[in-house]
Amino acid sequence: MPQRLSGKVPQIKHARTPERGNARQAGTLTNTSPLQSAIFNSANFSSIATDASGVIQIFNVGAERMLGYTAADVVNKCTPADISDPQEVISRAEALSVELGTPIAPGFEALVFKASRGIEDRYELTYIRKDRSRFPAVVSVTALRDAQDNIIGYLLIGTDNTARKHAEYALLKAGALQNAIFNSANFSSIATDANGVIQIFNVGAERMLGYTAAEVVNKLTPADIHDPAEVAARAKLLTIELGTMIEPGFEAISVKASRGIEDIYEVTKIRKDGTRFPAVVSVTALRDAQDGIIGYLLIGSDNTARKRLEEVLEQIRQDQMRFKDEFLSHVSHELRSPLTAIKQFTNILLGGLAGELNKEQREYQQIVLRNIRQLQSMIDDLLEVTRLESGKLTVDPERLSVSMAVTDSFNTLEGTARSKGITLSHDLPPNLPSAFADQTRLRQILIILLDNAIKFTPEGGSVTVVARSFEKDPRLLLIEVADTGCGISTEITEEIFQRLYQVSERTEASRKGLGLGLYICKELVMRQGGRIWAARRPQRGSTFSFTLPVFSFHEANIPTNTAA
Amino acid sequence: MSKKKILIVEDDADVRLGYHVLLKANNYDTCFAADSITAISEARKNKPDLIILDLGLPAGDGFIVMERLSGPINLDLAEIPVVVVSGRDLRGNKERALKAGAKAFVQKPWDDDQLLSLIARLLGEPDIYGQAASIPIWDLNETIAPLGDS
Repeated sequence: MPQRLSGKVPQIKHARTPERGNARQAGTLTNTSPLQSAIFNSANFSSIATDASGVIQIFNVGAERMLGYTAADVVNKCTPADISDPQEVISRAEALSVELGTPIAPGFEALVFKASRGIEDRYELTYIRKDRSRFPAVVSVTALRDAQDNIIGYLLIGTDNTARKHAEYALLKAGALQNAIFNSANFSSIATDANGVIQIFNVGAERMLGYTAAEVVNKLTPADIHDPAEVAARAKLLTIELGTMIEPGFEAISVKASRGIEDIYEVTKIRKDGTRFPAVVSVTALRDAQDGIIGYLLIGSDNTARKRLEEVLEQIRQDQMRFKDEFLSHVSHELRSPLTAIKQFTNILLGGLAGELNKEQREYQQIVLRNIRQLQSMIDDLLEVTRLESGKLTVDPERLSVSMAVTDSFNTLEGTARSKGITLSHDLPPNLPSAFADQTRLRQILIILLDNAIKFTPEGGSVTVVARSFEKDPRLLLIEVADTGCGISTEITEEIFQRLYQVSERTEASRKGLGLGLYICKELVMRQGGRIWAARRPQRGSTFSFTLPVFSFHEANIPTNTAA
Repeated sequence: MSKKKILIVEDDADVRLGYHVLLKANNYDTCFAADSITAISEARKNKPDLIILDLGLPAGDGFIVMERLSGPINLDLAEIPVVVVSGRDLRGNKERALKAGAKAFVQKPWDDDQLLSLIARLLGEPDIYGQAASIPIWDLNETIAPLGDS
């Protein structure tokens, strides 16, 4: 019976690996240093010492942590073979029996046999934790000997190999990936020499372009399989971009990469049979150890599917836009038909054409009529915005009198203003220059602004239109619509021109509309070369101001055109 | 003096009745067509003084009606003033209507007084409706652009 270790390393008198370095190893093992103790107790290694028969005597912190057993669980109870994958122990026994020409039992002997013969032994092994989970370990085995060189036990130092195994696997995968990429049929990989002559033409390139490698290697440059017109166009562009003459050939393809500029571009490639397809090509310069260019690598992918997808998406987008426009136009039209009949008969009743109405009936029919008008203006706004956004709204500027447009819009809104007891007035200098604008559109802008002003001004208030030359720019006319209403807070003077903007206080006035009027105004003013803005008046109310080009300053003005 | 007769070409029966009540109350005679084919036969039969023509019609739109009215076999109908009415106020429609020979374009839903004022002016009657923002009457011989207040 071999001497039992008592669980303390210093008791080991002598240990050596007989092959080489005996003295040094013996020294480190017999004279316990703090370093040695630190290593032995390190949590990163499992250090398991056994007696000569393999029964575990020492089981360090690292072993405990790695394997999930406490020292008490295993010391004097089992051998390292018991915590190793049994199948691997059997395989190892078989392999060693063959290698060493002697039968080796599948157990602890298989783990230490080499060490017992003085052969340096380090092997990979799967350890099994207390919870039955497994992990790959690298185990290094040393026989522990006494002063007479008799084996008194074995030391098994193990490291968890999981991370390395993972890394190895990842590396293996990466290598395979690289290989797969280069030989992938989905990418064309074309390597050229420094002059652009093709040296490597991978499977993907063969499949994509229809040439075999033998047909192109040492014969063609990638420029020969690009659309010549596109290569020429690219050369022209690069000549401008780089400020130096770029030849419409391989240089146009490689020059950016040769200067270390990342280069990915779209190009049409031409197959052997003359058919074409859109490709995305990435070019990299290949350099030797001295950083000299030895060639170029062109990775290309077939862009047909993406191009097609882009086209389909664009088509869908356009279809949707068109559908939206047509839908809105159709709906507005269809809404107008019943509205027409409602309006007709309301007017018939109000006009007494179906018998006289009493006061109350008349009042109620007036309410109906007012709501019809509101619905009508909403439909008009909806249609107008559809036209604005589908580009169907045209602006035909001509020489016109702003004063006449103002008078005209006053006539339209006179009734509305009068019914609310609001005074409409204007201040239009007689020498006001003619504007260069669209008559219908100017009238529309004025009506929207006046209607808004009347809507937000309490009974008895006033709305004033002022027009004059814009002092900041004599090429423009300034037209202002000022009211004595509730005014607008300074924070929202920009927002109110946005589509669907509605005043947050849901006053009765603010509810009556889709929130499109000022947006339409802004668009109409801008399309005529003007600007629109709003401001709070110092006393009370708001001012909406917009500019329009002065006719005589307009570059397209023709002196003989005096029709207005 | 006999009443002036107006042909209403409109596919919506409610709107047709609305026209009828309004026009009758304002001392006009009315006759009707609900599609583009009947429009021609009614025009030929009734020889109206004015035609109110909706653009959206079954069996061919209002433009076809105008084309037939101005065609060589209907020379006697070509002088009847046509007022085009539409729910679709596309600018293109307005121009097409003008080129096809319409005298005015009315947007649905219209203002009764504006419509009556327009009819009176087209028929050479006194305009008692006094609308400041009245519907302009086009005159193809004078200018391509719509006339202002006339």
